[in-house]
Amino acid sequence: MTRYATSAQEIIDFLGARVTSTTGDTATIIRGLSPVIPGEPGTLSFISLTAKAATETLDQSASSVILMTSERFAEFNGSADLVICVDDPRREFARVVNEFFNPREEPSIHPTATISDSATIGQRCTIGAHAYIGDGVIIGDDCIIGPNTVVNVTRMGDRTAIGPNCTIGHVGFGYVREDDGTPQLLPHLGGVVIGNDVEIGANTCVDRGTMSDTIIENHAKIDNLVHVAHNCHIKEAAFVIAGTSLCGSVVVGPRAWMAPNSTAIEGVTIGADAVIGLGAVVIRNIPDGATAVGNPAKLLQPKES
Amino acid sequence: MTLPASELVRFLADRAIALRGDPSVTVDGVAPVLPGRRGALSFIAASSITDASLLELTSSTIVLIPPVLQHILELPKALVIVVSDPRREFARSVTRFFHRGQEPHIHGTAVISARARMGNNCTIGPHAIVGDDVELGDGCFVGANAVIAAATIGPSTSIGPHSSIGVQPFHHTRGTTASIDDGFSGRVVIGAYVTIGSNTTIARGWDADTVVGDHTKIGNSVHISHDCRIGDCVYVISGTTMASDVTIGNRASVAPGTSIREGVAISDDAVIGLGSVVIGNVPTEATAYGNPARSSRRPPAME
Repeated sequence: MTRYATSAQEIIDFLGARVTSTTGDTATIIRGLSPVIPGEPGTLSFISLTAKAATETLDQSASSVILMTSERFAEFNGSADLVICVDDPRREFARVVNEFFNPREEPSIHPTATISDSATIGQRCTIGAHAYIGDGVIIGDDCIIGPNTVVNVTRMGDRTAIGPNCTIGHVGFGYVREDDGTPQLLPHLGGVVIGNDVEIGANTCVDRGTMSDTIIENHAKIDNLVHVAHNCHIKEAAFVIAGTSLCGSVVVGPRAWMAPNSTAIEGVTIGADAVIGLGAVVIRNIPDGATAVGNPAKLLQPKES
Repeated sequence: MTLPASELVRFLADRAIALRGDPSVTVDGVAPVLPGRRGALSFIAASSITDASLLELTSSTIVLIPPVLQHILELPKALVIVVSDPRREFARSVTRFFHRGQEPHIHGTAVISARARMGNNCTIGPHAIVGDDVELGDGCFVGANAVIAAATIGPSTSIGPHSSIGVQPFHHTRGTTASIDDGFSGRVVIGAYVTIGSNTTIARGWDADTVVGDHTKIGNSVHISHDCRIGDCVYVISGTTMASDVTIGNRASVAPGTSIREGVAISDDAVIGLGSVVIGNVPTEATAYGNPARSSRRPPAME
């Protein structure tokens, strides 16, 4: 249920046991959201665990209600009507925004979208202007396909959202050279399988597999301008961030994090929970939980503590 | 379709060095060698770890294998065919037997200028835009939502979805607000049998043309700036960005995520590694990689 004004008490009730303490007027009415600096009267803000602003600056916030940690609150001298202390303010803020302030558009299929007669579209999907859904594509319930996006040879789960101008299921870069150097296409006969609750940003390409499918598992989040080559396997809840290029058959482990503009050479496996740094060039397998940075990417040793 | 082994062997002709197993089997499609599939054709690449256990584990019916494997095998379950380059023979076989070409089709929502010159048997995808100043050769493919402006494109060339060909370049001069867009009179000239991926952009030239040679393959999300000249049979793989006036020689390969500085010349048969930043010329047959990219002669073993 989407609402655009709520009392702080409703938010406190929604967060339940995750609220460690409240100080101030819990009847304060919240009409919107704002960044904590400069903040805005009548709005909810948060101070993240990693906020770098000085305490004196944060004290100047004009917001009426602020989510922060109790450690931060111990140093806080601002004039907010209400402070709600939680362990992870950014995460609780996201939950509150999703519950109370996230406008969900009515599902609609734009009249200029082109959908093949043999495609299957689930319930309550939104398909943007000039999007193209090709033959045999299967899209689950509550999905969003952005304007101009082109989807071929793909099966997609529920609640998955794809941004504008994406190309999903086009033929990949697979060639063999003849003796004189002339390239010949290795035909692509596989498809793309995308799970539930996946999000893909704008202008991203996901190529179809050569023989088997290219796979993106549930809850994976892929940003803008990412390239996912044939037969890649992006596992559950992994993050692949803007400008990243994955070569063929790369495996990105569950909950792994690939920072912007990183690249991974064909066939490497990035372990579960691994972190790949900004612009890193991954040419070897990365173990579970490791952090790798640089060109070529090298493992970062954990600091002795 | 059902393909009898005898027909495949006839197609491979003298490229099939040896057969082992049952030559009367048939296949109906393809599968990766692991796990494989009953009734499928698979291959073990010469470059992969040449492990004979792949052949024990696969359930595929026909497997193309490199010569290095032929002596260490027990007799296979079905049929193995020894060829010098399994991946290449596999590509040829799939193209010949299992790849359905599409009928040429101009989608009803495509926007094609009355002044564009189109060859025969072209396919133009939904919402694609073919502008006034465009010449398309016979048998071209233009993907959905692609935009083609000032360009001459040779026969049997394919442009992927969302690609923009012949668009205005990024060319600005600090200290002036005057637009110089109108100064660009060059075009994009693309040869025959070229493939360009999705979401790729190629800018038009200043007074000469931006050129892509015959049989060259360009991946997804590549940017080719104005006045670049790319040779024949070149690979430029996904996510690579090149500034203006870059020259790339014949049969060179540029790996994904590479950045190339303006005016740089990459010579024939050079190889550029993944994620490189190329700021100087790269000689013939050299391999260059890293940030900044350093060149070395390729060791003979790699040839």
